[in-house]
Amino acid sequence: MARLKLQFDAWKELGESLDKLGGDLKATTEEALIKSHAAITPGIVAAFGKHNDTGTMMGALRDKSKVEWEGMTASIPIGFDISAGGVASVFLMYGTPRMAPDRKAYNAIYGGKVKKQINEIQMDVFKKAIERAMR
Amino acid sequence: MKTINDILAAIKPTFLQGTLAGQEYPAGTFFTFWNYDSSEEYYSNKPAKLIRYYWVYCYSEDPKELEIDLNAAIKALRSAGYIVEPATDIATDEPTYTGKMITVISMETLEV
Repeated sequence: MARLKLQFDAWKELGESLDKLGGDLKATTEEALIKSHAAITPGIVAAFGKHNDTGTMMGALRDKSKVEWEGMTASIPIGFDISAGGVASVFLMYGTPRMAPDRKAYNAIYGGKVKKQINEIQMDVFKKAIERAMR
Repeated sequence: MKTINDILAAIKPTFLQGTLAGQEYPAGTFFTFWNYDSSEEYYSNKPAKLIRYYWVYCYSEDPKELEIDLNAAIKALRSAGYIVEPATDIATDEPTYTGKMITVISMETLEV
């Protein structure tokens, strides 16, 4: 199962700026992760949903994830829970010797456009939080 | 630059990922590969470098043989000029086989 973390280039610097301004870094981090997750999950449903013969794989989709903290690092599960029936998603993305990889499925979670979208969303959340903290 | 297929086929049987549909897996260890992305870098508005990204998979009935053959492949690919990232496990759809995969990158300078 993949995990989204803060991944845009300037997240450490913006995080420090927000903290110095007295902004709520924890809440902003969680908002950034939740919004990123919400933005890309529909694309995952669209790319993988057409391979839904038994419902097992889509039943393992992490579409209602919560942010999890490990010390100072936050992440949110995204994609499929492999242990709960999502292993077929691995076969779809990476293929098997009997089945070619599905590029759309892979790109829905790991593609360049999705990464760019996540970066933009997360940066936007942090910039808006800094603006609020400066008022 | 030697092709990935040629490098891997010199070690164990090699196939394009997905081309064994309806077939038994080869006995022992085998490789598959897939070119999952490509990109170009430009210089003075002309393509100067071609970058190809591959997944190379190693499947085996014997986990020990898998490690040996995959390590041999990694060594051969690096010797041939490929960039090889660390291996990770990959799920297999054949219960008697285990699998590992690596991401392999080639960079080719184009005539400008």
